[in-house]
Amino acid sequence: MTITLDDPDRRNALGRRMFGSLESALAGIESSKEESIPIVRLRGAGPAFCAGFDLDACGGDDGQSVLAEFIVRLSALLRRIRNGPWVAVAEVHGAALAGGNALAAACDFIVCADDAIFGYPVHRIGVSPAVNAPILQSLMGFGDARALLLSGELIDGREAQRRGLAWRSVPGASLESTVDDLVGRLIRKGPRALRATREWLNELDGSDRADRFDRSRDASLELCGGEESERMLRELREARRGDRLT
Amino acid sequence: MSELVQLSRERGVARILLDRPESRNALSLPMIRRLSEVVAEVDALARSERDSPRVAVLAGAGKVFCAGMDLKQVAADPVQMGEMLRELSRTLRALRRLPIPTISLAHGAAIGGGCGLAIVCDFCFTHAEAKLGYPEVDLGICPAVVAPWLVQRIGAGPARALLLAGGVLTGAEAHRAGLVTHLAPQAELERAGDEWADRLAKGGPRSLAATKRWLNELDGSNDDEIAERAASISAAIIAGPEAQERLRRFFSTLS
Repeated sequence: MTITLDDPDRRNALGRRMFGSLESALAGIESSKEESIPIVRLRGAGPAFCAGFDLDACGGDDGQSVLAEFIVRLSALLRRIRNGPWVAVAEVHGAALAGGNALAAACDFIVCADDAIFGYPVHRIGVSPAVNAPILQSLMGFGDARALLLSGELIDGREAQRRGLAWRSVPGASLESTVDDLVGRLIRKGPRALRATREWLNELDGSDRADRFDRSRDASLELCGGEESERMLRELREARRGDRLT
Repeated sequence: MSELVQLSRERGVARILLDRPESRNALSLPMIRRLSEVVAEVDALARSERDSPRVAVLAGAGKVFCAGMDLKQVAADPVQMGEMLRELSRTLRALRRLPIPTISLAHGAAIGGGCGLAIVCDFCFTHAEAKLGYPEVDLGICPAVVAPWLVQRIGAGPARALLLAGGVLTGAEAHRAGLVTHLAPQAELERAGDEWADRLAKGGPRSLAATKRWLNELDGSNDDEIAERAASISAAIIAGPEAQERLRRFFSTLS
Protein backbone atom coordinates (compact mmCIF):
# COMPACT_ATOMS: atom_id res chain seq x y z
CA MET A 1 0.00 0.00 0.00
CA THR A 2 1.44 3.34 -1.00
CA ILE A 3 0.77 6.72 0.60
CA THR A 4 2.02 9.57 -1.58
CA LEU A 5 2.35 13.05 -0.12
CA ASP A 6 1.02 14.96 -3.08
CA ASP A 7 1.48 18.70 -2.88
CA PRO A 8 4.65 19.05 -4.94
CA ASP A 9 4.39 22.84 -5.39
CA ARG A 10 4.81 23.25 -1.64
CA ARG A 11 7.34 20.43 -1.35
CA ASN A 12 4.66 18.42 0.45
CA ALA A 13 4.74 20.74 3.44
CA LEU A 14 2.64 19.67 6.42
CA GLY A 15 -0.36 21.97 6.65
CA ARG A 16 -3.95 21.31 7.65
CA ARG A 17 -4.90 19.65 4.36
CA MET A 18 -1.80 17.46 4.28
CA PHE A 19 -2.29 16.36 7.91
CA GLY A 20 -5.93 15.63 7.13
CA SER A 21 -5.16 13.45 4.12
CA LEU A 22 -2.40 11.57 5.92
CA GLU A 23 -4.67 10.89 8.89
CA SER A 24 -7.45 9.57 6.70
CA ALA A 25 -5.06 7.45 4.61
CA LEU A 26 -3.82 5.76 7.78
CA ALA A 27 -7.36 5.36 9.10
CA GLY A 28 -8.28 3.60 5.85
CA ILE A 29 -5.48 1.07 6.29
CA GLU A 30 -6.22 0.63 10.00
CA SER A 31 -9.82 -0.33 9.27
CA SER A 32 -8.84 -2.90 6.65
CA LYS A 33 -10.01 -6.36 7.60
CA GLU A 34 -7.24 -8.21 5.82
CA GLU A 35 -5.41 -10.99 7.65
CA SER A 36 -2.03 -10.19 6.20
CA ILE A 37 0.04 -7.34 7.56
CA PRO A 38 0.05 -4.37 5.18
CA ILE A 39 3.38 -3.00 4.05
CA VAL A 40 2.92 0.78 3.92
CA ARG A 41 5.16 2.71 1.59
CA LEU A 42 5.37 6.45 2.31
CA ARG A 43 6.72 8.68 -0.44
CA GLY A 44 6.52 12.24 -1.72
CA ALA A 45 5.50 13.52 -5.16
CA GLY A 46 7.65 16.14 -6.86
CA PRO A 47 11.13 17.33 -5.91
CA ALA A 48 11.04 16.53 -2.18
CA PHE A 49 9.79 13.96 0.31
CA CYS A 50 8.49 16.57 2.75
CA ALA A 51 9.84 20.00 3.68
CA GLY A 52 8.33 20.04 7.18
CA PHE A 53 5.59 22.27 8.57
CA ASP A 54 3.86 24.73 6.28
CA LEU A 55 5.42 27.77 7.94
CA ASP A 56 3.50 30.24 5.79
CA ALA A 57 0.49 29.16 7.81
CA CYS A 58 2.33 29.89 11.08
CA GLY A 59 3.34 33.52 10.54
CA GLY A 60 -0.05 35.22 10.78
CA ASP A 61 -1.95 36.60 13.77
CA ASP A 62 -3.13 33.12 14.78
CA GLY A 63 0.25 31.64 13.77
CA GLN A 64 1.19 30.37 17.20
CA SER A 65 -2.01 28.43 17.67
CA VAL A 66 -1.61 26.96 14.16
CA LEU A 67 1.94 25.93 15.06
CA ALA A 68 0.70 24.31 18.26
CA GLU A 69 -1.95 22.42 16.29
CA PHE A 70 0.72 21.16 13.85
CA ILE A 71 2.91 19.91 16.69
CA VAL A 72 0.01 18.05 18.29
CA ARG A 73 -1.04 16.47 14.99
CA LEU A 74 2.54 15.54 14.08
CA SER A 75 3.11 13.88 17.44
CA ALA A 76 -0.09 11.86 17.05
CA LEU A 77 0.92 10.83 13.53
CA LEU A 78 4.38 9.69 14.62
CA ARG A 79 2.92 7.54 17.36
CA ARG A 80 0.31 6.17 15.00
CA ILE A 81 2.80 5.29 12.25
CA ARG A 82 5.00 3.58 14.82
CA ASN A 83 2.23 1.56 16.45
CA GLY A 84 -0.16 0.86 13.59
CA PRO A 85 -0.87 -2.68 12.34
CA TRP A 86 1.65 -2.53 9.49
CA VAL A 87 5.29 -2.36 8.58
CA ALA A 88 6.14 1.10 7.25
CA VAL A 89 8.81 1.96 4.71
CA ALA A 90 9.75 5.57 3.92
CA GLU A 91 11.03 6.15 0.39
CA VAL A 92 12.91 9.41 0.65
CA HIS A 93 14.24 11.58 -2.17
CA GLY A 94 15.04 15.27 -1.95
CA ALA A 95 14.38 17.07 1.30
CA ALA A 96 13.04 15.36 4.43
CA LEU A 97 13.32 18.22 6.87
CA ALA A 98 12.09 18.71 10.44
CA GLY A 99 8.52 17.31 10.46
CA GLY A 100 9.37 15.56 7.17
CA ASN A 101 12.42 13.95 8.73
CA ALA A 102 10.24 12.97 11.69
CA LEU A 103 7.63 11.26 9.48
CA ALA A 104 10.33 9.25 7.71
CA ALA A 105 12.01 8.31 10.98
CA ALA A 106 8.74 7.00 12.43
CA CYS A 107 8.67 4.33 9.71
CA ASP A 108 10.39 0.98 10.33
CA PHE A 109 12.73 1.49 7.38
CA ILE A 110 14.09 4.57 5.64
CA VAL A 111 15.35 3.89 2.16
CA CYS A 112 16.73 7.09 0.65
CA ALA A 113 18.53 8.52 -2.34
CA ASP A 114 22.19 9.35 -1.78
CA ASP A 115 21.41 13.02 -2.37
CA ALA A 116 18.37 13.15 -0.07
CA ILE A 117 18.62 15.82 2.62
CA PHE A 118 17.77 15.21 6.27
CA GLY A 119 17.90 17.49 9.27
CA TYR A 120 16.13 19.81 11.69
CA PRO A 121 16.99 23.41 10.70
CA VAL A 122 14.33 24.77 13.02
CA HIS A 123 16.09 26.50 15.92
CA ARG A 124 16.67 29.53 13.73
CA ILE A 125 12.91 29.93 13.50
CA GLY A 126 12.41 29.34 17.22
CA VAL A 127 10.82 25.90 16.91
CA SER A 128 12.03 22.91 18.96
CA PRO A 129 12.26 19.45 17.32
CA ALA A 130 11.87 17.77 20.73
CA VAL A 131 8.66 16.13 19.45
CA ASN A 132 10.80 13.69 17.43
CA ALA A 133 13.51 13.03 20.02
CA PRO A 134 12.51 9.55 21.25
CA ILE A 135 12.27 8.02 17.79
CA LEU A 136 15.49 9.63 16.71
CA GLN A 137 17.30 8.35 19.80
CA SER A 138 16.08 4.88 19.05
CA LEU A 139 17.32 5.07 15.47
CA MET A 140 20.66 6.82 15.86
CA GLY A 141 21.60 6.34 19.49
CA PHE A 142 21.74 9.15 22.03
CA GLY A 143 24.91 10.82 20.79
CA ASP A 144 24.05 11.23 17.12
CA ALA A 145 20.43 12.13 17.85
CA ARG A 146 21.58 14.87 20.21
CA ALA A 147 23.94 16.27 17.57
CA LEU A 148 21.37 16.25 14.77
CA LEU A 149 18.59 17.80 16.87
CA LEU A 150 20.74 20.54 18.39
CA SER A 151 22.95 21.48 15.43
CA GLY A 152 20.33 22.07 12.76
CA GLU A 153 22.93 20.53 10.45
CA LEU A 154 21.74 19.06 7.13
CA ILE A 155 23.06 15.63 6.16
CA ASP A 156 22.75 13.72 2.90
CA GLY A 157 21.45 10.19 2.41
CA ARG A 158 24.81 8.50 2.66
CA GLU A 159 25.61 10.26 5.91
CA ALA A 160 22.12 9.40 7.17
CA GLN A 161 22.89 5.73 6.56
CA ARG A 162 26.26 6.04 8.25
CA ARG A 163 24.62 7.51 11.34
CA GLY A 164 21.85 4.91 11.50
CA LEU A 165 18.99 7.19 10.46
CA ALA A 166 18.52 5.49 7.09
CA TRP A 167 18.50 1.73 6.58
CA ARG A 168 19.85 2.05 3.03
CA SER A 169 21.03 4.93 0.91
CA VAL A 170 21.22 4.23 -2.83
CA PRO A 171 21.71 6.23 -6.03
CA GLY A 172 18.49 8.08 -6.88
CA ALA A 173 17.94 5.99 -10.00
CA SER A 174 17.65 2.79 -7.97
CA LEU A 175 15.57 4.18 -5.09
CA GLU A 176 12.27 2.85 -6.35
CA SER A 177 13.56 -0.62 -7.21
CA THR A 178 15.32 -0.91 -3.83
CA VAL A 179 12.04 -0.18 -2.08
CA ASP A 180 10.23 -2.60 -4.42
CA ASP A 181 12.67 -5.34 -3.40
CA LEU A 182 12.30 -4.62 0.31
CA VAL A 183 8.50 -4.56 0.11
CA GLY A 184 8.60 -7.81 -1.89
CA ARG A 185 10.73 -9.40 0.84
CA LEU A 186 8.51 -8.18 3.67
CA ILE A 187 5.33 -9.47 2.02
CA ARG A 188 6.71 -13.01 2.12
CA LYS A 189 7.32 -13.02 5.89
CA GLY A 190 4.92 -14.62 8.33
CA PRO A 191 2.47 -11.75 9.03
CA ARG A 192 1.78 -12.85 12.59
CA ALA A 193 5.48 -13.17 13.37
CA LEU A 194 6.17 -9.82 11.76
CA ARG A 195 3.48 -8.12 13.80
CA ALA A 196 4.60 -9.72 17.07
CA THR A 197 8.23 -8.84 16.37
CA ARG A 198 7.33 -5.24 15.65
CA GLU A 199 5.20 -4.93 18.80
CA TRP A 200 8.03 -6.38 20.85
CA LEU A 201 10.56 -3.97 19.32
CA ASN A 202 8.17 -1.11 20.09
CA GLU A 203 8.06 -2.27 23.68
CA LEU A 204 11.85 -2.63 23.88
CA ASP A 205 12.56 0.88 22.57
CA GLY A 206 9.62 2.56 24.32
CA SER A 207 7.70 3.34 21.12
CA ASP A 208 4.58 1.82 22.67
CA ARG A 209 4.60 4.31 25.52
CA ALA A 210 2.15 7.18 25.09
CA ASP A 211 3.86 9.23 27.81
CA ARG A 212 7.13 9.36 25.85
CA PHE A 213 5.33 10.84 22.86
CA ASP A 214 3.25 13.17 25.02
CA ARG A 215 6.20 14.55 26.95
CA SER A 216 8.16 15.14 23.74
CA ARG A 217 5.16 16.87 22.22
CA ASP A 218 4.79 19.05 25.32
CA ALA A 219 8.47 20.00 25.19
CA SER A 220 7.94 21.33 21.65
CA LEU A 221 4.64 22.94 22.60
CA GLU A 222 6.20 24.83 25.49
CA LEU A 223 7.76 27.30 23.07
CA CYS A 224 4.52 28.05 21.24
CA GLY A 225 3.13 31.45 22.03
CA GLY A 226 6.47 32.58 23.38
CA GLU A 227 8.04 35.83 22.23
CA GLU A 228 10.95 34.09 20.48
CA SER A 229 8.84 31.77 18.39
CA GLU A 230 6.34 34.48 17.47
CA ARG A 231 9.00 36.98 16.45
CA MET A 232 11.13 34.54 14.49
CA LEU A 233 8.22 33.11 12.53
CA ARG A 234 6.90 36.62 11.77
CA GLU A 235 10.33 37.65 10.53
CA LEU A 236 10.53 34.54 8.41
CA ARG A 237 7.19 35.32 6.81
CA GLU A 238 8.18 38.92 6.13
CA ALA A 239 11.47 37.82 4.60
CA ARG A 240 9.64 35.37 2.33
CA ARG A 241 7.16 38.02 1.31
CA GLY A 242 10.10 40.26 0.50
CA ASP A 243 11.58 37.52 -1.69
CA ARG A 244 8.39 37.32 -3.64
CA LEU A 245 8.21 41.08 -4.18
CA THR A 246 11.74 41.44 -5.47
CA MET B 1 28.17 -40.54 23.63
CA SER B 2 29.18 -36.97 23.06
CA GLU B 3 28.57 -34.57 25.87
CA LEU B 4 27.10 -32.04 23.42
CA VAL B 5 29.06 -29.20 24.97
CA GLN B 6 32.66 -29.54 26.16
CA LEU B 7 34.51 -27.47 28.70
CA SER B 8 38.28 -27.33 28.74
CA ARG B 9 40.82 -25.05 30.32
CA GLU B 10 44.23 -23.94 29.22
CA ARG B 11 46.23 -21.18 30.79
CA GLY B 12 43.69 -18.53 31.84
CA VAL B 13 41.07 -19.40 29.23
CA ALA B 14 37.90 -21.44 29.73
CA ARG B 15 36.92 -22.97 26.37
CA ILE B 16 33.30 -23.85 25.76
CA LEU B 17 32.83 -25.98 22.67
CA LEU B 18 29.43 -26.65 21.10
CA ASP B 19 30.01 -30.24 20.08
CA ARG B 20 27.23 -31.65 18.00
CA PRO B 21 28.81 -31.22 14.58
CA GLU B 22 26.58 -33.81 12.87
CA SER B 23 23.65 -31.42 13.48
CA ARG B 24 25.62 -28.25 12.82
CA ASN B 25 25.52 -27.65 16.58
CA ALA B 26 21.80 -26.97 16.42
CA LEU B 27 20.37 -26.15 19.83
CA SER B 28 18.19 -29.02 21.03
CA LEU B 29 16.78 -28.96 24.56
CA PRO B 30 19.48 -31.34 25.92
CA MET B 31 22.12 -29.27 24.17
CA ILE B 32 20.87 -25.99 25.69
CA ARG B 33 20.61 -27.61 29.14
CA ARG B 34 24.15 -28.91 28.87
CA LEU B 35 25.38 -25.48 27.74
CA SER B 36 23.60 -23.95 30.68
CA GLU B 37 25.43 -26.36 33.07
CA VAL B 38 28.76 -25.55 31.48
CA VAL B 39 28.19 -21.80 31.73
CA ALA B 40 27.28 -22.24 35.41
CA GLU B 41 30.50 -24.17 35.90
CA VAL B 42 32.55 -21.42 34.23
CA ASP B 43 30.76 -18.87 36.40
CA ALA B 44 31.71 -20.78 39.57
CA LEU B 45 35.31 -21.20 38.41
CA ALA B 46 35.58 -17.51 37.51
CA ARG B 47 34.36 -16.53 40.97
CA SER B 48 36.74 -18.87 42.77
CA GLU B 49 39.74 -17.39 44.50
CA ARG B 50 42.51 -19.56 43.07
CA ASP B 51 43.49 -20.33 39.52
CA SER B 52 40.30 -18.86 38.09
CA PRO B 53 39.91 -18.43 34.31
CA ARG B 54 40.30 -14.87 33.07
CA VAL B 55 38.43 -15.19 29.76
CA ALA B 56 35.80 -17.52 28.28
CA VAL B 57 35.85 -18.49 24.60
CA LEU B 58 32.73 -19.99 22.99
CA ALA B 59 33.25 -21.94 19.74
CA GLY B 60 31.57 -24.64 17.66
CA ALA B 61 32.99 -28.00 16.50
CA GLY B 62 32.73 -28.94 12.83
CA LYS B 63 31.73 -26.80 9.90
CA VAL B 64 29.70 -24.10 11.62
CA PHE B 65 29.40 -22.32 14.94
CA CYS B 66 25.68 -22.95 15.40
CA ALA B 67 22.83 -23.39 12.92
CA GLY B 68 20.19 -22.16 15.38
CA MET B 69 17.42 -23.84 17.32
CA ASP B 70 16.87 -27.52 16.56
CA LEU B 71 13.22 -27.17 15.70
CA LYS B 72 12.67 -30.32 13.72
CA GLN B 73 11.96 -32.69 16.59
CA VAL B 74 9.88 -30.33 18.65
CA ALA B 75 8.18 -28.01 16.13
CA ALA B 76 4.82 -29.69 16.69
CA ASP B 77 5.17 -29.72 20.49
CA PRO B 78 4.46 -26.24 21.86
CA VAL B 79 5.20 -27.23 25.47
CA GLN B 80 8.64 -28.51 24.57
CA MET B 81 9.23 -25.48 22.35
CA GLY B 82 8.33 -23.09 25.14
CA GLU B 83 10.73 -24.88 27.49
CA MET B 84 13.51 -24.64 24.90
CA LEU B 85 12.99 -20.91 24.45
CA ARG B 86 12.93 -20.25 28.19
CA GLU B 87 16.06 -22.34 28.69
CA LEU B 88 17.81 -20.50 25.85
CA SER B 89 16.79 -17.20 27.38
CA ARG B 90 18.25 -18.23 30.77
CA THR B 91 21.47 -19.46 29.16
CA LEU B 92 21.92 -16.22 27.22
CA ARG B 93 21.54 -14.25 30.45
CA ALA B 94 24.01 -16.47 32.31
CA LEU B 95 26.54 -16.08 29.54
CA ARG B 96 26.07 -12.32 29.53
CA ARG B 97 26.54 -12.12 33.28
CA LEU B 98 29.75 -14.15 33.54
CA PRO B 99 32.21 -12.05 35.55
CA ILE B 100 34.95 -12.53 32.94
CA PRO B 101 35.07 -11.25 29.33
CA THR B 102 33.59 -13.61 26.75
CA ILE B 103 34.59 -14.15 23.11
CA SER B 104 32.62 -16.08 20.50
CA LEU B 105 34.24 -17.54 17.38
CA ALA B 106 31.37 -17.56 14.88
CA HIS B 107 32.78 -19.54 11.98
CA GLY B 108 30.68 -20.82 9.10
CA ALA B 109 27.23 -19.88 10.32
CA ALA B 110 25.52 -18.38 13.38
CA ILE B 111 21.80 -18.36 12.71
CA GLY B 112 18.82 -17.38 14.87
CA GLY B 113 19.47 -18.57 18.41
CA GLY B 114 23.05 -19.34 17.31
CA CYS B 115 23.51 -15.72 16.32
CA GLY B 116 22.01 -14.84 19.70
CA LEU B 117 24.74 -16.87 21.44
CA ALA B 118 27.42 -15.27 19.28
CA ILE B 119 26.45 -11.67 19.92
CA VAL B 120 25.58 -11.98 23.60
CA CYS B 121 29.32 -12.47 24.15
CA ASP B 122 31.34 -9.33 24.78
CA PHE B 123 33.36 -9.91 21.62
CA CYS B 124 32.40 -11.80 18.50
CA PHE B 125 34.90 -12.87 15.85
CA THR B 126 33.82 -14.04 12.42
CA HIS B 127 35.13 -14.22 8.85
CA ALA B 128 33.88 -12.38 5.78
CA GLU B 129 32.12 -15.38 4.16
CA ALA B 130 30.29 -16.59 7.27
CA LYS B 131 26.49 -16.38 7.44
CA LEU B 132 24.93 -14.63 10.41
CA GLY B 133 21.46 -13.37 11.11
CA TYR B 134 17.89 -13.87 12.13
CA PRO B 135 15.66 -15.42 9.44
CA GLU B 136 12.96 -16.14 12.05
CA VAL B 137 10.15 -14.06 10.50
CA ASP B 138 10.61 -15.95 7.24
CA LEU B 139 9.55 -19.09 9.12
CA GLY B 140 6.70 -17.35 10.94
CA ILE B 141 8.74 -17.31 14.17
CA CYS B 142 9.23 -14.24 16.36
CA PRO B 143 12.86 -13.59 17.40
CA ALA B 144 11.76 -11.99 20.68
CA VAL B 145 14.32 -13.86 22.83
CA VAL B 146 17.32 -12.61 20.89
CA ALA B 147 15.91 -9.11 20.23
CA PRO B 148 16.98 -7.41 23.49
CA TRP B 149 20.60 -8.52 22.98
CA LEU B 150 20.60 -7.29 19.40
CA VAL B 151 19.13 -3.95 20.48
CA GLN B 152 21.91 -3.61 23.04
CA ARG B 153 24.53 -4.54 20.47
CA ILE B 154 23.54 -2.40 17.45
CA GLY B 155 20.84 -0.03 18.73
CA ALA B 156 17.07 -0.21 18.50
CA GLY B 157 16.68 1.33 15.04
CA PRO B 158 19.08 -0.95 13.16
CA ALA B 159 17.81 -3.95 15.18
CA ARG B 160 14.25 -3.16 14.06
CA ALA B 161 15.26 -3.18 10.38
CA LEU B 162 17.36 -6.32 10.72
CA LEU B 163 14.76 -8.42 12.54
CA LEU B 164 11.82 -7.30 10.35
CA ALA B 165 13.74 -7.81 7.09
CA GLY B 166 14.86 -11.31 8.18
CA GLY B 167 17.29 -13.23 6.00
CA VAL B 168 21.00 -13.56 6.77
CA LEU B 169 24.07 -11.36 6.38
CA THR B 170 27.59 -12.26 5.35
CA GLY B 171 30.25 -11.93 8.02
CA ALA B 172 31.52 -8.77 6.31
CA GLU B 173 28.02 -7.23 6.37
CA ALA B 174 27.52 -8.28 9.97
CA HIS B 175 30.77 -6.55 10.86
CA ARG B 176 29.68 -3.34 9.14
CA ALA B 177 26.31 -3.52 10.89
CA GLY B 178 28.06 -3.83 14.25
CA LEU B 179 26.84 -7.35 15.15
CA VAL B 180 30.36 -8.70 15.32
CA THR B 181 33.32 -6.88 16.77
CA HIS B 182 36.15 -8.51 14.81
CA LEU B 183 36.71 -9.86 11.34
CA ALA B 184 39.58 -12.26 10.55
CA PRO B 185 40.37 -14.67 7.71
CA GLN B 186 38.64 -18.00 8.40
CA ALA B 187 41.91 -19.93 8.72
CA GLU B 188 43.13 -17.45 11.34
CA LEU B 189 39.92 -17.02 13.30
CA GLU B 190 40.96 -19.19 16.23
CA ARG B 191 44.39 -17.60 16.48
CA ALA B 192 42.90 -14.09 16.32
CA GLY B 193 40.47 -15.03 19.10
CA ASP B 194 43.31 -16.47 21.20
CA GLU B 195 45.38 -13.34 20.81
CA TRP B 196 42.43 -11.24 21.89
CA ALA B 197 41.87 -13.57 24.85
CA ASP B 198 45.54 -13.22 25.90
CA ARG B 199 45.22 -9.48 25.73
CA LEU B 200 42.04 -9.47 27.84
CA ALA B 201 43.61 -11.88 30.34
CA LYS B 202 46.20 -9.23 31.17
CA GLY B 203 43.54 -6.88 32.51
CA GLY B 204 42.81 -6.71 36.22
CA PRO B 205 40.11 -9.34 36.86
CA ARG B 206 38.37 -7.20 39.45
CA SER B 207 38.24 -4.13 37.24
CA LEU B 208 37.01 -6.18 34.28
CA ALA B 209 34.31 -7.82 36.41
CA ALA B 210 33.23 -4.48 37.85
CA THR B 211 33.12 -2.87 34.40
CA LYS B 212 31.07 -5.73 32.97
CA ARG B 213 28.69 -5.62 35.89
CA TRP B 214 28.15 -1.90 35.42
CA LEU B 215 27.70 -2.13 31.65
CA ASN B 216 25.19 -4.93 32.15
CA GLU B 217 23.29 -2.79 34.58
CA LEU B 218 23.32 0.22 32.24
CA ASP B 219 22.10 -1.62 29.15
CA GLY B 220 19.41 -3.69 30.86
CA SER B 221 21.22 -7.03 30.68
CA ASN B 222 20.11 -7.78 34.25
CA ASP B 223 16.43 -7.37 33.42
CA ASP B 224 14.93 -10.82 33.99
CA GLU B 225 11.39 -9.64 33.46
CA ILE B 226 12.09 -8.53 29.86
CA ALA B 227 13.86 -11.80 29.13
CA GLU B 228 11.00 -13.92 30.53
CA ARG B 229 8.42 -11.93 28.56
CA ALA B 230 10.50 -12.37 25.43
CA ALA B 231 10.45 -16.14 25.87
CA SER B 232 6.66 -16.17 26.33
CA ILE B 233 6.14 -14.06 23.19
CA SER B 234 8.36 -16.31 21.07
CA ALA B 235 6.69 -19.41 22.53
CA ALA B 236 3.17 -18.12 21.80
CA ILE B 237 3.98 -17.24 18.19
CA ILE B 238 5.73 -20.53 17.45
CA ALA B 239 2.74 -22.49 18.77
CA GLY B 240 0.37 -20.57 16.46
CA PRO B 241 -1.01 -21.83 13.14
CA GLU B 242 1.15 -19.55 10.98
CA ALA B 243 4.46 -20.79 12.39
CA GLN B 244 3.28 -24.39 12.50
CA GLU B 245 2.27 -24.29 8.83
CA ARG B 246 5.47 -22.58 7.71
CA LEU B 247 7.67 -24.95 9.73
CA ARG B 248 5.89 -28.00 8.30
CA ARG B 249 6.46 -26.70 4.79
CA PHE B 250 10.08 -25.86 5.58
CA PHE B 251 10.90 -29.31 6.97
CA SER B 252 9.07 -31.11 4.18
CA THR B 253 11.25 -29.32 1.61
CA LEU B 254 14.33 -30.45 3.56
CA SER B 255 13.46 -34.13 3.66
